[in-house]
Amino acid sequence: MSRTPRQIGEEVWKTRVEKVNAELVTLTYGSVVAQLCKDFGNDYIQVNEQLDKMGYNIGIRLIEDFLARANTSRCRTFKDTAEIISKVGFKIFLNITPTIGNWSQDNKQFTLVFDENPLADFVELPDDGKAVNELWYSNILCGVLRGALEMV
Amino acid sequence: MVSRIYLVALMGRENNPLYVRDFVPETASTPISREPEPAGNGDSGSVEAVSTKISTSRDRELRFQFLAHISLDVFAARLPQKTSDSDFGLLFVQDEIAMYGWMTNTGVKIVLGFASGEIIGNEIRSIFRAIHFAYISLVCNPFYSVDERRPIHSRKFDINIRRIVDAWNGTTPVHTPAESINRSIAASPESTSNTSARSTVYYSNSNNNNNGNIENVVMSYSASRSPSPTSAHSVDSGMTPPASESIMAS
Repeated sequence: MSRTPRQIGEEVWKTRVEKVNAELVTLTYGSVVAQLCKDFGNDYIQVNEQLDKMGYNIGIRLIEDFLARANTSRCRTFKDTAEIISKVGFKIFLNITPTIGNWSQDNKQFTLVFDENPLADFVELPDDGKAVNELWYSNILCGVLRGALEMV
Repeated sequence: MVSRIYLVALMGRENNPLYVRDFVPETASTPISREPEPAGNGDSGSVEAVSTKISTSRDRELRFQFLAHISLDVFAARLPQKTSDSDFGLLFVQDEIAMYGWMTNTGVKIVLGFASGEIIGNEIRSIFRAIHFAYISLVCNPFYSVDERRPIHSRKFDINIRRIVDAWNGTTPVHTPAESINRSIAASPESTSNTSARSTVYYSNSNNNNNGNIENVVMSYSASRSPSPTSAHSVDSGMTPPASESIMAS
């Protein structure tokens, strides 16, 4: 009987998830971001907002899928939530497990650190001085998390 | 003693230049150095000969452009007879520089100029493949417009090629001014170029093994991360940048 979030994640990833080609995802996401940048005339703040909105829409739907697959019990503490997000959620959908760290004093904030980011493979941010500081390339993930957690 | 790579050039389908970079070791800027190289290696003769001819860097640039053009002619001439392989092998030898060529299916041509001396065997293919993968990773960048006419100005691509060549030449990577500028930019334009197991990785650290590790360059397909010498910060959605180490499977 799988107990730890890590085991749950592994097990679901191995059995109940259909796989898709990673390069397809990477290239699709890349062209989404590139197109957004072009459409908004390199206004990266806007692009970030749009990515967040897109992520939000994905998240509110994704959470149902996640709950159906993972079938975990309700999280009791925020720490549990962090573990589940990292070891089960990201594992199922992106096959990565970001590390959790930097808990705040009141245990209400934490950071997820991504050692590898399949969305950003091969990506080189445009060399216009602004992109590096302003564009949040993987901001869709933030939106997804926001949408998903809002529904629970 | 293995010949050094002096020139890497990429040309597009319309025979337009995409990238021309020379790797001639920086001799003194004064034209002629008559002293043979102290290491007494086999191709010291040809290095000296090259350095007498390659005086200023403008000269060098023109010479290499010239060689690239000649190789285009050879490609065009040999293409009708070419059956399957991408490898065009030795194209020609000119002025102590031997040119080898490789054409991809999309018409992109890669040429390498070696200090002529030894006939390079099949190790050539691994370099070509490594360069090809560098090009592929450049093309996969969503922000790079695959406009066939424009020359390549990607810093990451430059670093990759440099690393491949340094691995072959057995030299330590030289910190050119461009690269030291890279270091000083905190979050460089290169976002995490980490590649994971499923996609291609194609270069290794130059551990000063003479060209043995070109094999590693291609072999390290699986499960290695790309070590960008600049900070491997991911300019990600407001999350703290990972302190990712470069893990090389050499």
